Amino acid sequence: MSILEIKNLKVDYETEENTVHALINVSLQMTGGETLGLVGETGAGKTTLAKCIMGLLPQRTGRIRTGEILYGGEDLLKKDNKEMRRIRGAEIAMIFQDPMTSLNPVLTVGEQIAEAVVNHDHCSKAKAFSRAAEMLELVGIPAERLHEYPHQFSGGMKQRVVIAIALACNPKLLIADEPTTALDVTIQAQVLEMMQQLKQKFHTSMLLITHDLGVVAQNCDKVAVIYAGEIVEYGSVTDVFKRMQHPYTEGLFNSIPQINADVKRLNPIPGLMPDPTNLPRGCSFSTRCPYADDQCQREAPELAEVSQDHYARCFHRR
Amino acid sequence: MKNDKEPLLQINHLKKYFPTPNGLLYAVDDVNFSIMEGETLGVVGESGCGKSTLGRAILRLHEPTSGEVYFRGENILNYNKKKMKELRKEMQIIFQDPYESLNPRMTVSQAIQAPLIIQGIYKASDHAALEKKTLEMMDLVGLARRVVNSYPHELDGGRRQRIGIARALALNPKFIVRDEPVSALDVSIQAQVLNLMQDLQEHLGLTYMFITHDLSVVRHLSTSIVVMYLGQMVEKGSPGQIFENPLHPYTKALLSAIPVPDPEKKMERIQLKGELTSPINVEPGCRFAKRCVYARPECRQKELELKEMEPGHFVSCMLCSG
Repeated sequence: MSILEIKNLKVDYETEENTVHALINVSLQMTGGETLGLVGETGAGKTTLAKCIMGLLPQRTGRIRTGEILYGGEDLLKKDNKEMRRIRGAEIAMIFQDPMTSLNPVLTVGEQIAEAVVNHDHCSKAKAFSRAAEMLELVGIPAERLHEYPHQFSGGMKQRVVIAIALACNPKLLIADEPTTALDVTIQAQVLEMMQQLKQKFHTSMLLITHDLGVVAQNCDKVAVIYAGEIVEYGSVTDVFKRMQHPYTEGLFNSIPQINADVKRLNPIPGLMPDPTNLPRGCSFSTRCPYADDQCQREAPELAEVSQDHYARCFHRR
Repeated sequence: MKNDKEPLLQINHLKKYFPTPNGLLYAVDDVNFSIMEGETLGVVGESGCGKSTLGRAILRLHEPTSGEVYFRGENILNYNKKKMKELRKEMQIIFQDPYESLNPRMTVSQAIQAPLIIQGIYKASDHAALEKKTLEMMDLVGLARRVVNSYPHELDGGRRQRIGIARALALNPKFIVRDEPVSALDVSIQAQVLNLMQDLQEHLGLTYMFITHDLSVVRHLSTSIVVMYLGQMVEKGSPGQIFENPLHPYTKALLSAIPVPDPEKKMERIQLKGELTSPINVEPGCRFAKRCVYARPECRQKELELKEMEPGHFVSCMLCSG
């Protein structure tokens, strides 16, 4: 049974001069306990998707044109602010990218974890603080540091605090937006391992946004590759990594230096992502694709099933 | 490293300590290495290990506490200000955080021209020659000529990084320090920039010191690698030696922490407890002992020295006997 289902989501940002096409007909499904990796370059629409699910799209510019986000069968896009406030944190929680700036510097970490608990469980402050202490221990920080301020913690520890806040109310869905990008590899490994353990313990589903293909391979069950607002490939990690179908996915892999082999020269995707205010007419990757032909420039391909539960948006599947 | 040539750059016992209210901070502590002309030295380590300070101390952007820095056989730490300014034409640094290292009020052309004017290669009034040189540099690093009057905020990270490269190269340097503390770029853009740096090295005979935390990039680019931990070198060798036969427990842990982009190869991680300890008032003995799974009491007693385990492969660990 799917916990989250996104159907044909189309989102624009409306500015004075032009319209940015941030997400174009995105459809995704997540089942309980699953980790879905969302991979793509800066500006591909990864964070916009996370914000839509959380109901945090900027109200002034963000426009949801079509689509549904079904959470437990109910459309989140139809909820009002009050209902969304109840869902955020308690049902769906988010871990933000930069632990250095996502904590409040003038509140102790204990107060920040307890705040989430008080808001959702309506319990006493004392009870919330004991829950906060419990959460700190769970993420591997001694509970006596409850009354310290963020600046007294290192980067990896701050990220653990952010994770403790996100998990304090036992959410069913966790959205992690580049949770370890700002951390060193050794700390990244510690944090990811801890997140895996907690996820299993609480049977949480996770949407892991990252541009690190290694992190996806080691932590996710399924992966969606997003390019210029569209999902271009979607399937199990093994299918996408071992039997990739889309030229963009292939290009991403050719761009990373191999740790296990000496490669003299990298083979990056030429050029840049198209301007999201002015997307090409046909396939949005056609401007950089080595296999592109006339058809690619004329028509936009559909996301088609290439094998069971493995989808790709390309006329020339590998 | 047996080579008849004289190294372009040689560092002997370089130290940089910073005084803090709590005691001395040992940012760089007795680092030795040399780089041959046309080669690339990769320096890796976690944030706070002193790798950026090392790069800056070599260029005297931080005045070293003690030690020697030989460039073409001369100790540049004895140079006065005037001679140092002369030398800066040959030694340049690329600050790789493209979002913070460019002046937001300078256009691309102003940013590229600034070093040329400061070094007196062109007069500020000589617009025609400056413009010609600017466009030449932009072509060299693959920046479209139409962005010549753009401001940094109008450009993406990859283009900004190219501006940093263009202005460092404008003076025809021999030696370039690339300081890349964070991965600021997407993989495809990063690959484009890495290829560009490689091409430039081949065409212009450049020598690089590449400071990064990304081990896969280091393997890809370097001729030799230095692994740093809390201000000290813990291992030094060729990419093959470091990656195929890492000897120091820290290097092993660092390598095993890299997530492999292959779902069928599950990581076998060497558990590393805790985080980098404080470099202030360090205790004697091995600085890594607190996090090391193999640590024994004697690790905390004796000062360690780099030992040569095989030709060109050095390690500083009690438990590696030669």
